[in-house]
Parts: sequence; structure tokens; C-alpha cells
Amino acid sequence: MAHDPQMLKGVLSLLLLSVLVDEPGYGYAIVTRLRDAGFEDLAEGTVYPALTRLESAGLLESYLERSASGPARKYYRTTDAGRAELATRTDAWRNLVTAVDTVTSTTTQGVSS
Amino acid sequence: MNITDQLRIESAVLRYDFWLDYRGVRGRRRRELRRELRANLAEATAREGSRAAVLGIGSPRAMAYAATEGDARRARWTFGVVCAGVVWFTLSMMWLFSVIGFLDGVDASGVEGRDVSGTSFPWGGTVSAHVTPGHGGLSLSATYPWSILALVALTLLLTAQPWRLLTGRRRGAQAAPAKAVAQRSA
Repeated sequence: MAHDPQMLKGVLSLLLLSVLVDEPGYGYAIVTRLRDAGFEDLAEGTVYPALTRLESAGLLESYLERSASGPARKYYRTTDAGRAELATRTDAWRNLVTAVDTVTSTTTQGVSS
Repeated sequence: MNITDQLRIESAVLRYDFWLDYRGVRGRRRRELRRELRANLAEATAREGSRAAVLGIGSPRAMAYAATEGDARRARWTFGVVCAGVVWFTLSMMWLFSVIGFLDGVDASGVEGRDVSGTSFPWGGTVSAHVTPGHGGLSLSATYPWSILALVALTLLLTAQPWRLLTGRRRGAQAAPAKAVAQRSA
């Protein structure tokens, strides 16, 4: 099922910080990792600038690593500030999901009855 | 990767670089971002082909805008110099044609053996022509008009927008305490 691009944009930073917290990754590999996780319609053109912004904000850090198949890859990993931000955003996301669930479950019951 | 793939990738990277420059990203940072995009596109090309890889990034302009969103803005010197160069070349050619027109006028008037001076319209700057008696030759002297240099300088100023240095610094100073508060609260 395709995801709403606006909703996806809202949670993209959370997804990126989450994906890079345990295992560093480079641009295209991060895109494929997220696609494999169910975000099939995720565009590279959305992910690459988001990585740049998170790095500029100090939430990600990067390093270059040689690649056997082509030019050196730029790997990203979550910084300590990024981990703190991830915790905050995860809490905010869970609160939002709970609140939305509360409202929609009531509405759904009303619609189905 | 064949030559078509490389051309596709380089074209996308160059367009991305142009818009990064337009957004005032400095040379060193642009080089890093170019290298990163090139590596990602090469990787995607190996798996999906260059057409799909380039389509995947969408508009390089939108990507450059998204990458620099909320970033402190900087003067766009490269863009400004290119625009000023185009204006300088165009106006200089127009001035040159008006000088040639003046020279033709002097020649057609039949005046010989004395200097004929005038001002090139609308640029300003004096033009002086001398026709040797018996149509032996033409000599011309002209001063390059300041109005063209002023317009070139104005173009550079308006397109490079050096005041972004001040506004960027001010924004950075405003953002710094906010960032410190955010880090303390985290």
C-alpha cells in the first residue's frame, strides 16, 4: 500500500535516525533498507536531502569509506544528540499514534454500527 | 557503466550543483555533496540502470532546495559573476555597435581631415573619429562608458546578494541559543 507523501515526510527524520542508530549506512543503502522495511515508494530525492539536513543539524555524522564497485561512499551514523532527538521523536510519535487510535476507534465503531 | 550512464549521472550532478550554488552553498560543501550524489547514483545505476537512478532523485532543483532548507544563507558569488559577465558582454557588444554606427555616420557625412567627437548614446563616454583626407583611412578613439561598469556592478550586487552574509549570520546567532537550550533539555 502506498504511503501518504506528506505523512511520510513528517516521520522521515524519525525513520532515518532510527535506521542509523545501530548500523551506519550510505544514501542508497539507507533507501533500500527503508524500502525493504515496507516503504516501497520512498524516493531517493527525499532521503538524500533529509540526510544532509540531519547532518547539518548535528544529529548525524558522516565518514567516507572506499568502495570496490565505484567512488567512495559517505556513511552516516547517529550522533549522541541524534539519539536524544530520536528518543524525543519516538515518544512524540507513540503519543500521536495513541491519540489517533483513540479517536479513530471511536469513529470506526460509530461508522460500523 | 557505459558512457550514456556516465553522461546521465554527470548531467544530474551538474544541475544539482548549479542549484546548490544558487542557494549559496560554499564550494567545498558543494564538492562533498556532488561526490555523495555521484556515488549514490553510481550505486543505483548498478542495480536499476541509470535512467531509473536519475528519475529516482526527481528534480535536482527541488533536492538542492530541500537539502539547504533552514540553512544559514550565503552570498551567491558564482551565480552573480556569471550574470554580471553576461550583462557585461551584452552591453559591451551594444556599445561597440553604437560606436561603429557613429563611425559610419562620420564617414557618410564626408567630413575629412579633422576630429569629430561625440557621445555614444545611451551609454555615455566620448567617441572621437578622424577621417584622413582622400579616404586614406579612419582612426577612432573612445572611452569605455562608466554606465556599463555601473550596470555590471549593480547586476553582481543584485544576483550575488552579499547581504545574505549579514542575514545568515544574524539567523545563526538567533539559532545558537535555541540549539543550546534544546541540547540542555535533551
